[in-house]
Amino acid sequence: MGGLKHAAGRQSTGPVRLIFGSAQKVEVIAEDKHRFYMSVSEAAQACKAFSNAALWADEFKDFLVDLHKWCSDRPERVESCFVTWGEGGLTVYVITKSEDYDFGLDDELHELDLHMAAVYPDCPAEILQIPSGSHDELNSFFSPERSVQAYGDKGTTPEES
Amino acid sequence: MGTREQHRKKADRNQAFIDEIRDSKFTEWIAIAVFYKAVHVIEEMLAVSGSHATSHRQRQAILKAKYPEILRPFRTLYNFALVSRYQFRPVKTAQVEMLFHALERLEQLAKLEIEEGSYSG
Repeated sequence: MGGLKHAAGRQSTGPVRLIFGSAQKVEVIAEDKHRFYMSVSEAAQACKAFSNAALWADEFKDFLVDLHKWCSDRPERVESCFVTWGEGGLTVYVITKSEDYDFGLDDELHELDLHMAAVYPDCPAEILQIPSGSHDELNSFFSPERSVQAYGDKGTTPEES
Repeated sequence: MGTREQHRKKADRNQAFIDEIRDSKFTEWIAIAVFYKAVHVIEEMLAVSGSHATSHRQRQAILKAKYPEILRPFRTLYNFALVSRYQFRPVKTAQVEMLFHALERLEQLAKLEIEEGSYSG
């Protein structure tokens, strides 16, 4: 199963780590809880969900669970997945197992994108694939400190590899 | 906000640049030029319906909502151009060919939309 394993007491400086349970639920590991809710607050603002952040947080968690399941169904092609936020909404980075651009995955990402847009209209997102690469390469696309890891064991800092 | 004609001219100019460099070793720049041609093809199509995007994210949102089949090849061009700008591995000739196929598909679909839009308009 693609659930994340976590080192207890690890200093959290990379992405916010999550635990995906078997009942379509997601939990945040204890030491990341504060950072997660800070992240949700920022992400809600990015998605212009000003009116009810608590309700939005529930939709965002469901969004993460759905994303995790999609990745878990493709363990041979997907290495990890991170969600970041910025002006205009969320960005999902699907890190592929391949070191080359996986053209064959684009159609599946397209279907995922349409599905997520239909089911989670308050979580506007663009979904991108990034070929597997060094930590420096991955970090050139997004900041791990401002991301939530939705799938995969491989982190984005050298000591986590 | 450009007119339909202005976007067509930019698309044609980008194509002329692609033709200049398509046999060169600077394959990452081919990927980028192909993407920017696609942007102007999309903007030309949007201009026909009086629409316009001010950012990559907004352009994708419009395509996702109104033209999902055109987003399909556009996604590949957008995503690949982003990767080619930041990753250190060289872009392969076979990958460039995939981009040309995606651009061709995108142009076919956009042309159909423009023709339908022009007809109904």
